[in-house]
Amino acid sequence: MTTDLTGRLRADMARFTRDVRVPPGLALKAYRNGRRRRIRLRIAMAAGTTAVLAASAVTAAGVTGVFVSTATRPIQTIAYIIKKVESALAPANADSLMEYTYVTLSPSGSFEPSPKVTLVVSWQYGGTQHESDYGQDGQHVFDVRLISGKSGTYTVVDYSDRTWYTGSFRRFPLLPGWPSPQFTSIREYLEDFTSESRQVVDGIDAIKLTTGPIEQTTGGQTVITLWVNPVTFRPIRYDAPGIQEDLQWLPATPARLALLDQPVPAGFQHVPSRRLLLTRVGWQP
Amino acid sequence: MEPDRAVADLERFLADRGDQLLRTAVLLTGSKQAGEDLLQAALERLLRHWQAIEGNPEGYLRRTLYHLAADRWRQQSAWRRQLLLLRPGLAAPAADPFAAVDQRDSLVRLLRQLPPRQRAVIVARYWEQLSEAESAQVLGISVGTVKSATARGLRRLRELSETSPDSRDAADPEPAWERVT
Repeated sequence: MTTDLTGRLRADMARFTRDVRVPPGLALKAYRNGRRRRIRLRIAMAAGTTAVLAASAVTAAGVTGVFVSTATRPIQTIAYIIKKVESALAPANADSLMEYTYVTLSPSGSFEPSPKVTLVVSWQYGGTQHESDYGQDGQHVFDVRLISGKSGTYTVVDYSDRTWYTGSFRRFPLLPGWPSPQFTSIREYLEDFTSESRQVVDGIDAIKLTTGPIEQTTGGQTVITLWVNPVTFRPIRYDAPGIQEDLQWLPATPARLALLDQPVPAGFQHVPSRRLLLTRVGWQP
Repeated sequence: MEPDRAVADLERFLADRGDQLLRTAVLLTGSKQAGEDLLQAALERLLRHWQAIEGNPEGYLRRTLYHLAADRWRQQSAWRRQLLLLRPGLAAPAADPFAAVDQRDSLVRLLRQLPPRQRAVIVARYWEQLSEAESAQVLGISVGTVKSATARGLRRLRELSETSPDSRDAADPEPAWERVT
């Protein structure tokens, strides 16, 4: 029995890797990548020291009432900024805040439950999220409420046929939220952001981080941009092909918390659950 | 380190042994792209220690491959990037040339569902044909752990292969949503 299995396994592995060949120049690529990483690390360490010194200078200047020009602003390398973003979004610093997200999607996207959705307005706090989805003409298409946990639940209100359904799901997102799950695990982008500049977003002189070309698992390349509040270091905008997210981080007042618990409109019919695609909340391959 | 010489030496070594190492990396990670990333990460590490390595670097490289493959954080990072690229408007469904192969090789697909250590032991024992003692050395674990991880890995693979119909369309990922009626 085991022999059968291991024999099949060997044959499968041989077939699976039959056409695998090392691409030329891999050693050189590894060398260059390693060198870039070492340089970045050195700069980050140096910038961390500079930032601490500059912050001390600003504090001292504040005490004595001396105007401090932006020329004294600490040099903020990408690595340093990302570290600050991580810290700003750490549970201890972000758990008391509600995340409000306004997402515009390309009409050709594959957003679920329906590709008709081009605008998503979402509130999230703790493990609960409520979002309203709108179509290209502004019509209200869906409301979706997700409650995370070991076994999470969802409620979908479908305005197109005045129905609603609920369901449960396993393996709720390893990532805490949608539509901005990546912000709580932004560490992985450290190596991808290659340039930093400033740009005004909604009146904020935001730090703009841009990646170099990122290989997509499905072929081709893409570029991702992230704007960060220079004071709080919380992300305020995220942009990738087909999607833009604007974020606000707000105190969790009772009025805002009530937005997470909106009832199903009267007169809507309860129907059996319909399947949602998994890209919505993350799935493990 | 004299980088040019080290890189040239390494390229020569890869021309000879690279395909085999990359195949191991692909099996450890489950895809060609992730396998290349893994091998490149191992090469970076090798280059950092190039001067300290005497003789054939293959042993060092192989050990590094296995250790990096079991690095949970690294795996999650790769997975999250994949998730990002699955998001609306970013990409059409799988154009990975290995996807088609994937569907034919059901046991390799199931192998990806094993925990990293069990997967690594299975690859070491049944792909690289290493003995239990050699596997233990490469993975930096005891022979006893190799034995138990092999037994558990094979048992799990058998269970998975019995409950997972071959006819399932691999392009349609396993549902995480449970239907409630």
